[in-house]
Amino acid sequence: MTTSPHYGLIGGAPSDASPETLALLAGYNKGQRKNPAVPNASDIWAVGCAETAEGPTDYPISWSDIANDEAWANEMMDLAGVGRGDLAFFSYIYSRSGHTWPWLRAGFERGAKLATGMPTQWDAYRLEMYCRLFPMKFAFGITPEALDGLEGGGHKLATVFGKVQRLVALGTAWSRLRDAGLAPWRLHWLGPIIAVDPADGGGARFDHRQWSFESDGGRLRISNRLPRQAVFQRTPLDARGHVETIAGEPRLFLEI
Amino acid sequence: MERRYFDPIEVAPRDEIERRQLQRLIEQAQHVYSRSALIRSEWDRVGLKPADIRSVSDFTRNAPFIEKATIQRFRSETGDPMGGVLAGDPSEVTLYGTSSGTTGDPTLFAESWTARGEMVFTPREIWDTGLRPGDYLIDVQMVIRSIGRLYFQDMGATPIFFHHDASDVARMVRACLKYRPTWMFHISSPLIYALERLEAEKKIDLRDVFSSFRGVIYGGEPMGRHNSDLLERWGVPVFQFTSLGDCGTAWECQARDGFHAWEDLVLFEVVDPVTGEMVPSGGRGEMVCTALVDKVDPLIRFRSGDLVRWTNERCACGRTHARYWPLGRAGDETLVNGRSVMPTDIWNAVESVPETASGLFQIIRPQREVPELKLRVGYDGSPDLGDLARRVALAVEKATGLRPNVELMPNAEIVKFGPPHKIPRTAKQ
Repeated sequence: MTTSPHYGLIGGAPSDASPETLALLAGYNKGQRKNPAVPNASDIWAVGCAETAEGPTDYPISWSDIANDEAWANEMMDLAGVGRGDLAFFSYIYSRSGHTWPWLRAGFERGAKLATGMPTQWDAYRLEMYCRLFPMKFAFGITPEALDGLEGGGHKLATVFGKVQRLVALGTAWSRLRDAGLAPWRLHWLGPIIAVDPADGGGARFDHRQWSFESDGGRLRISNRLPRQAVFQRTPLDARGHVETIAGEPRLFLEI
Repeated sequence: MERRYFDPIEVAPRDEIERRQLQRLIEQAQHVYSRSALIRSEWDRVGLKPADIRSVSDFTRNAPFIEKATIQRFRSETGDPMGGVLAGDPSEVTLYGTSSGTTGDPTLFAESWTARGEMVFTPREIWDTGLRPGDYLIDVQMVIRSIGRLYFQDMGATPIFFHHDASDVARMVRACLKYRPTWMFHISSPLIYALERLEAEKKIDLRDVFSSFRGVIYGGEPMGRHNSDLLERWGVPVFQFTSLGDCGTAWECQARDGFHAWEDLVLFEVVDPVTGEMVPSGGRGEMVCTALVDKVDPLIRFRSGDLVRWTNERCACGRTHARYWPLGRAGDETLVNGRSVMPTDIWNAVESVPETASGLFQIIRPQREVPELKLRVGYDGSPDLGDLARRVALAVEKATGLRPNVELMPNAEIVKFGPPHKIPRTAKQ
């Protein structure tokens, strides 16, 4: 048995894997993970959870779906100004990993440093710790519960988030942060996708190359425009709003 | 024919493991001394150089222990968030994660997407507990550490994502019936409680729900008798995992006789918590771990605070690495008028009362030494609270000899006091 710099910890390959097997891991270190060194590996990356008008709905996500989703996440990270070496914090519940993984991957690929936490009252101290210890560029997924936890712990929102360059908040957390003198973006979980409103009056951005929305008497319905593992066709969401074309692309204006 | 073990090193002869361990230890000593500000500072303090380490015993005789307080002190003195532990190129760090952190700032971990020597889990235990390429698995994690590693996709399997919370348990049950997954990471006391409620309210056949599983991984805290009985009744093939001194995790194997510490990846020691002397195989002491292949933020001779019993005897499963059995956290010990009380001393007593059988409780202690045992205990249903408090107090007194002051709280409320996967068993207030 010989010692190898491959310790058998990544790629589904044991420490005595053959050179041919290890060659399959060549792209692994660049984030190309669609070919784990495992025979009979699944073509499905994961089964995610989309909140629709009918409640939480399972949907399969292929490896190519995830790669396609990353393109839009990259654009949004560019818009947010996240670059190499910047710290970006993501707060979400694990069932939404299908939504957030493209963002994480976009962050990894550009050399940003990521941190994660949960959008709960209990986990607010973790968010506070990261904001205190690191120069944070981007904090994604700030919820009212997290703000309750911070304020319940005696923290002032303007102090905790004062040095964070870009906040992305949900629901009433957005207005509470505005009231605290901050300038957050607004985040919307819309079925299988994320929309982000930079609060510039131009509406919420979404991946319009892959998805379309229509307003059905005010209720939003979502469809995928390109083939994906899971088909959404005029799927009603628990959200109201309308679509306008701004700067040549469809944007969402949600009724809050 | 399917291989029995994922990696041949799992069953390698001890001398092969020790040969590999020494080679990696010497390499790691040079790496951390040149790259980790904390290790250089601590080793310089005692006059230790990497070249002095030519054997494992050179290292265990001479390398100073690192405690969580050592790292926190370095952090406060230097302003380095990582407390001087970082030994990789800072540009390699792609992700920061943390321990669950129930008291004060949690421990920070730096991870690299590209480093080959990092782990929280390894494919070895994932394979041993039954996950195979093409399988579906129930994936119920917290979003606090190692989110950048796709452990299960790497194994060729398809995770179905869930929120680690009672609110997502009904969807989880539906998914089990639809996809017939074979594996789950991970189940915890709060999720078991939620399943128990769902079974009672919806009359769901949980034996059918779990009938397709080869492995369901339990962790977060020790399992009480009540939960163990429930999982057995539901036919759940449960395997437990626990922390390997913050250098990774250790899991039960098919023999379910202790937790395996992979000694080619981590130098595993058990020491007398007072004298620091090594405890031989078969003895009890504090677990001390040294990361051998993690080059990014390796913990070196890290005192875990976990009290364990251990052995290096070959396991019935055939594996040759050390095994251990957790006995408790040193920090969880409460002294009531000088008398030692651990959460495990109270657990069975709380579970023996029907309304508090879920075993959700906390020892309330502003400091380690207290004049009175105070408990916060979760209950189910709508009992006579005065009578219930009296019965819980009697059960605890019978088990410990100490009459506790009992504060009762609905189970649904007490689970909010902790992270999603466990209840902190001690609380300041």
